[in-house]
Amino acid sequence: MSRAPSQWFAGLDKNFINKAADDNAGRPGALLAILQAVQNRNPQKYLPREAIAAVAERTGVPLSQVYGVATFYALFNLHPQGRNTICVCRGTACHTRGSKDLLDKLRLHLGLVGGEDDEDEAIATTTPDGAITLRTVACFGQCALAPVVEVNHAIFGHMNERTLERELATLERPAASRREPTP
Amino acid sequence: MSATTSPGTPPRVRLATMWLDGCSGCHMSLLDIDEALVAVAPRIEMVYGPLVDAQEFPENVDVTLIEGAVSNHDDLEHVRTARARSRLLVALGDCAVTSNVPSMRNRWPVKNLLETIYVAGTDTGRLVPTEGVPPLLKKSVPLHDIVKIDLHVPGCPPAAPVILFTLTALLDGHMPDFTDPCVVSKVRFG
Amino acid sequence: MSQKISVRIDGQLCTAEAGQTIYQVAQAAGRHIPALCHMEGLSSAGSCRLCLVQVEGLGRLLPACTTPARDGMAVTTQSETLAHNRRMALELLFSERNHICAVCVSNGHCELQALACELGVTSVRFPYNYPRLPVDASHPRFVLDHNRCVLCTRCVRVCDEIEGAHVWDIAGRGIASMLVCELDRPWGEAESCTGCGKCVQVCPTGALVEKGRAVEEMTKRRGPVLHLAERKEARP
Repeated sequence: MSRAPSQWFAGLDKNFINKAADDNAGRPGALLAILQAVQNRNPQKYLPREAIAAVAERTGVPLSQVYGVATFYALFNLHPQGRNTICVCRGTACHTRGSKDLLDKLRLHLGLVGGEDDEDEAIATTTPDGAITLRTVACFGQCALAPVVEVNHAIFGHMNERTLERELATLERPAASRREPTP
Repeated sequence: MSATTSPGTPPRVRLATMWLDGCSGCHMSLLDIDEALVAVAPRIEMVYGPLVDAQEFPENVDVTLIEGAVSNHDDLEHVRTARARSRLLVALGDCAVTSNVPSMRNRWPVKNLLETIYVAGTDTGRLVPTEGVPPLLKKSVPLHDIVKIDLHVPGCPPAAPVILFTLTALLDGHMPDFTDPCVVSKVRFG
Repeated sequence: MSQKISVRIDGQLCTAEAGQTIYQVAQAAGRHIPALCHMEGLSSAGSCRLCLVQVEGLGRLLPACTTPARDGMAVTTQSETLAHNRRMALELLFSERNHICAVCVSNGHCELQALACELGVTSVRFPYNYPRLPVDASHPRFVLDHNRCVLCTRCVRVCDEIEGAHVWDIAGRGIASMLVCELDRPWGEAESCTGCGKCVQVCPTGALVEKGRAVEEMTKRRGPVLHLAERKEARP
């Protein structure tokens, strides 16, 4: 979880959280809707610690419980997300068609190779320049197209190293020129 | 328990013990059955182990009690030999059953572990020993990860009465039941 | 006025009140069902799967602590199938984290260990996981050792339901689940913790313990928590 104070949250109009809480008051799963609204508002698409604390305070739900919910669902991020998202399917069909290799190559290509603990498959990691977040998913439900990689929410089937590199090349440059890299 | 060596009694059970990655506490506990040793001794022939002189693990062993986890390449070889030459293999004590204290190093890669102890952790030498010591396995594991084990006797160490209960049952030709009321309170797992 | 129902537990006909769980009915009838996450006085979580029972006419096993008894139900609490499943659940708990009883302050006073002996578990058939987990000793009086946590959530429930502080919860999911203090903060820095120690006293293993205890020295006192739970129950 990102420990650095969030500048975005410092500048956020706190009425936004009040409004999200009021909009969802009394509805089952209100906490999910509030957290989602807050995360979507953040251009880096994540929930800083301060935001979780503020939601807990406003809703009266204990801190640890809000944190539990935020960490349970893969939908919520506790770290800043990249400007682009690549999601590699690690389902059985994709695995047998070589998705582990694709993932390893991608990690290498993006410089996301961890230390000695890199055997565990983290759900999401982001490049230090904030350009790309690499995720894995248990199954897209597109097994006939295995191996499947999702790039910025578009599904690409029958991927291999070459086609994946081509997709990467198309998104890295325009994405970088569109927005300033995050500090 | 009564045992005699008069003619007509069954031949002595060929018993071996083995000490792998453990503290020898299980062997101590075996000796702690005290005067019961006198009753057990005539029914067994100790053919191998730290308590006797034999240099080679013999063939045709009836029961082998193994103390300790499998932590290095020598352990690996020993446990395989014991399996091949014994009718019944018993994991004696928590290190053999769960890998216990030896497993506490499993959370670190062997290289980091050895460097922490032999290089960073000392002022003299500063060299990881490689000669005369068997290389460590990546992880210290229970016996049943390597070979088939016929009986697990847990405890750190197994209490002497539990060991006696086990030996008596095996000598009488059946497996011990540790949920038996006379030992259940003395059995500890983990 | 609560409605009376009839339930058969291991063949014995029992009268119970509607709304009671199978576990409660069995206990009242003097039938012992092994359990780990369940604790008298707290709500039920149904997470440890040790109290699984067979209900006649149902193909799957049900946790006794969360399943309400129904009129005419026939329940089996002891059988070879149940023993097999309970042992497996227990072995999975042992294989998941680093339960090294020989060096544990709760050795000999641990419910996980006691259950292994009771159910005749003498080895774990699954490969051990050996995860690298932290120990939080930041609290002046208590220690949280994640290596020995079985995620039973008794601490979460006692802190929420009896103390009313809700310091603890479970973060993450599946094999990555962890007990967390507030916003994943060191326990010693928790703002909501009253330091009452109820979580320590209800923890079935050596995961939550008092500082300064040596191996085998940590015994737990459940009495005060049970007493508080009774008084809470009695309040109008």
